[in-house]
Amino acid sequence: LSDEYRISCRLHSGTCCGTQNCCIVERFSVHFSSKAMACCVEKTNVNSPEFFLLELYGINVRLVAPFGSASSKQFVDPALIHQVLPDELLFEILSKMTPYTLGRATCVCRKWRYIIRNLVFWRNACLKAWQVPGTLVLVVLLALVSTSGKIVFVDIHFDIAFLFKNNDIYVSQNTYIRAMVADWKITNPVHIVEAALLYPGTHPTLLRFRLRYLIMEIIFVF
Amino acid sequence: MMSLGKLITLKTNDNEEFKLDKTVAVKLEIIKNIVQDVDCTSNVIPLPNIDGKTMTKVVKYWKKHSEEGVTEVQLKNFDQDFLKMSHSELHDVHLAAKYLDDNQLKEVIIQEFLDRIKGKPIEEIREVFGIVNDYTPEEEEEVRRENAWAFE
Repeated sequence: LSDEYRISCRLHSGTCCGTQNCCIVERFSVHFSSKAMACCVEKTNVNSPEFFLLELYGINVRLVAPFGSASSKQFVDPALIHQVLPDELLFEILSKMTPYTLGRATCVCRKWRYIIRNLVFWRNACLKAWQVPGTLVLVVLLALVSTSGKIVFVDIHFDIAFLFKNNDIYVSQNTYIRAMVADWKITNPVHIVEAALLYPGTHPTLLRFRLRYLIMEIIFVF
Repeated sequence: MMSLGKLITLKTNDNEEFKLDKTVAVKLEIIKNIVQDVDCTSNVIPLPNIDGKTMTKVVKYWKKHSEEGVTEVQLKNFDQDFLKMSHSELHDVHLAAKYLDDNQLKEVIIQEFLDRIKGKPIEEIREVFGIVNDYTPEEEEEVRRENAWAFE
């Protein structure tokens, strides 16, 4: 990242105290250039864990390769479940899955991958799986603003699929960055290949993203 | 209004009839609605979306679960036996439960599906749901790589 950009990041992290309806939401504002970084943290108590997740709704997620045939020929799904069960029932099954099962289910077929892209499934699964004391659920929205005042948008849509493994947390792959400017090199949605929150238990915590189409890493330390 | 007989007859699309105690039947939203809304002259309720084979299973489930004096353990054992059916039969019952708006039965079926695929390799998940793999080898490699964390 060159100096002329400032990245402003709103990171909402929810630390749930374990009860269903009490949650501390920390709002981080991170501003940094390649040389300097400032970070401010604001803690808010809210009554509902939904609070910091609401912003996920209404966000259009990028389509993955569509299932079925692209030709005009009518597509007949050979899968029994897709013939027999209306999508609604399939959704019900998927929405009861654990994050791990969802990750596996993504590999089953195109249709499932397409459906599971929807944040709602991840949201449900993660909340159910990790809404325990000490669990961190992160949603990151990132906007890139040039210092000249020109607004450059980069949205990072994080699905809230963070997995604890030892002390690390991994984010699911269902995460895209969308940029909508010419002078920023990304013209297409960029897939985050890897994002990991290294969580040693004490600060600082490191969040790294590696992007597929950009040879760069964004590292947040907070 | 339907006449107040004690038994309600449910008639499936292959003309099989099931007689149910009204107190059992009206617990279900859809039956209740038909009973309340439709001006039936008889006590026969048609179920055009369900066949007899599936309905037999559903009725068996309802009867057991509305029996009095059944212990939790007995119910659990019953459910276990009840769920010993093929994948496609399970889909049929799922559909029937949806049509009949029986959330309890639906939950049980969904849980069974999840148990059947839990921790299983992709191939077995496909088998349970009768899904044909439509990924190209390259795509499959990619999607598996992306979701490798789920297989750890």
